[in-house]
Amino acid sequence: MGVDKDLLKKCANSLMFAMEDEEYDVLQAKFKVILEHIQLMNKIDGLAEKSPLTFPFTLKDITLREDKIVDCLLPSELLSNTNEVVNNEVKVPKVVS
Amino acid sequence: MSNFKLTIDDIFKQLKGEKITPTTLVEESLQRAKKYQQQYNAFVTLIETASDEAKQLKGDIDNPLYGVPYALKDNIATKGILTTGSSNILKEYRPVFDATVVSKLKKKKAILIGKTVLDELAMGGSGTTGHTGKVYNPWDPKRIIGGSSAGSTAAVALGIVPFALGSDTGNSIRRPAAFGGVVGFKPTYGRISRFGLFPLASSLDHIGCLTRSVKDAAYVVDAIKGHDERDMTTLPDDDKVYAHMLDGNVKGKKLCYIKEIIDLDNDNKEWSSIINNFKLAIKHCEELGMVVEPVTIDKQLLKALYPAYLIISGAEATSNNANLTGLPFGNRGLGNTIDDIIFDARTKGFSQSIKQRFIFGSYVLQKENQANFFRNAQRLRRMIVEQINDLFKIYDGLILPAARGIAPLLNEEIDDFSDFSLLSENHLLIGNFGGFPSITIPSGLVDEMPIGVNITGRILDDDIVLNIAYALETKLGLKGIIARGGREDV
Repeated sequence: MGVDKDLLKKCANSLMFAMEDEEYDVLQAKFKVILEHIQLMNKIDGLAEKSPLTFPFTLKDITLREDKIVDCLLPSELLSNTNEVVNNEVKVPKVVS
Repeated sequence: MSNFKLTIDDIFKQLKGEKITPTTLVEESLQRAKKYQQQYNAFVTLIETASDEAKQLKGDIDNPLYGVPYALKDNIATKGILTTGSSNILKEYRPVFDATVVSKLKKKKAILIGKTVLDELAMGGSGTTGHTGKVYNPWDPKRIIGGSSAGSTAAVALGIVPFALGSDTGNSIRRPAAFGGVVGFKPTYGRISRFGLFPLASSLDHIGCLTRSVKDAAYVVDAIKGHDERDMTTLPDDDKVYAHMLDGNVKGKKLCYIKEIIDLDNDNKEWSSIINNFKLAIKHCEELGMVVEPVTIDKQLLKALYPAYLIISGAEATSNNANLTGLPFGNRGLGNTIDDIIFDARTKGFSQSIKQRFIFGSYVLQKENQANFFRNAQRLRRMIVEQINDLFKIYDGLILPAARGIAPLLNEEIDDFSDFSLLSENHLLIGNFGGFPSITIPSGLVDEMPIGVNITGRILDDDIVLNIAYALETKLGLKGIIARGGREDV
């Protein structure tokens, strides 16, 4: 069982990063091993009857915080980690031509 | 006089008795951090102003963390202080807020002396993938310390600080604790707020601590636990003071161990030593009046824990880290369009291993794969959690070796998918799957390297898990040990 390299490249592209071609070879080999073990997992008796567990346990007594007016961060603070700022906004290349 | 061997308990008494001052403690802590940085690389950032903060401390010594220096994993936000996640994409990121745990420790007047190295974005178990380099084991620098809370473990093992905070998504506090000869505790899921923790896999992530004694772990968790309106997954506070509940009286408590793990047949000499040590720990438990019994869990289920973890954590991590674009924060990329800029930032900002995890996460989330991969992994998660909860109707805890051996050599190749690895190494994941409180304590030395034993208990029974560990620690006699590399005064 394996995965096509083009599919891996498509995933990387949709995740918005690139990898070297040889890195895909390494990843392809890893996928092969992992997928074999996932196939074994899928064969475990009774698995299909279980519902997915998305959270460790059911939380009780969840209280939503009250709506109240609080101090918020200044624009200058919010933008302090941004490399290019113009007029208190993040500067990016023109989007609409 | 040197204070590096003192536990939090000792420090509290000495501060009260005016035998030491917070300034002395913090200055010594910074000196030790600098002394060992080149050799072990525990820190991304040292906070030189910490001694000024100590000098300015005022008020009564009203709690055990008053004036105590500590270290923080660099994936926990500190206002105005570099918080990198040990990743190039965030190498210049300075948060504009404090994580809740940081605010709580400030209120207790504990003093942060440094931010510690982790595996990049907390994805890894070696401590070798941070953007500022590998962390080396203070017992033997040819070996890993384990991760991802690598620097936090090393800082505590070296006697730089009496406690450090870490995060644990699969075993990232409890496995390095075993390799470093320290205590590593993650309480019940939701006991400690994660507001300000860089999320890896939100349904599995915990904050916890590394210390040199069980009582110190109780002190730290007492200080940082409780409901937080900024983290809706936090539990209401249980209003218990764990440190006051440690009496070592565990008579009548029942523990179990998984037979399929302990009976594993392997000619590995280290494994035999681990099992012999484990049997000694069991004997101690029995001498303390506890009952310890073997239980059975299907091997196929145990072997599926790691693949299921890779799927769930990969899927959640892919989604959680989609905000790392380099635009509002993080290192900005180059390009003529927004897409090009993001693409460049992410290509240069993430290492190969992170990209691989994201691709895997993306693959299992694709529409055609979700049922067979992501949903089945979540079904597997329910299956094991239900079995463990059934056991916890009878037993107060599960006890097992914390790792399959001593800390591996830096260049040692380990097949994570061998039957031996899958069975011996991955039971700590159960603690994250079910949100169970789980603690590793040092249990002995093998080839002059530390090993540990792990105790996992019912959700919300943090006090019981701590008390069992406290009683066993007394028997094992390894409280407060300092790693071989850190035994010199500065």
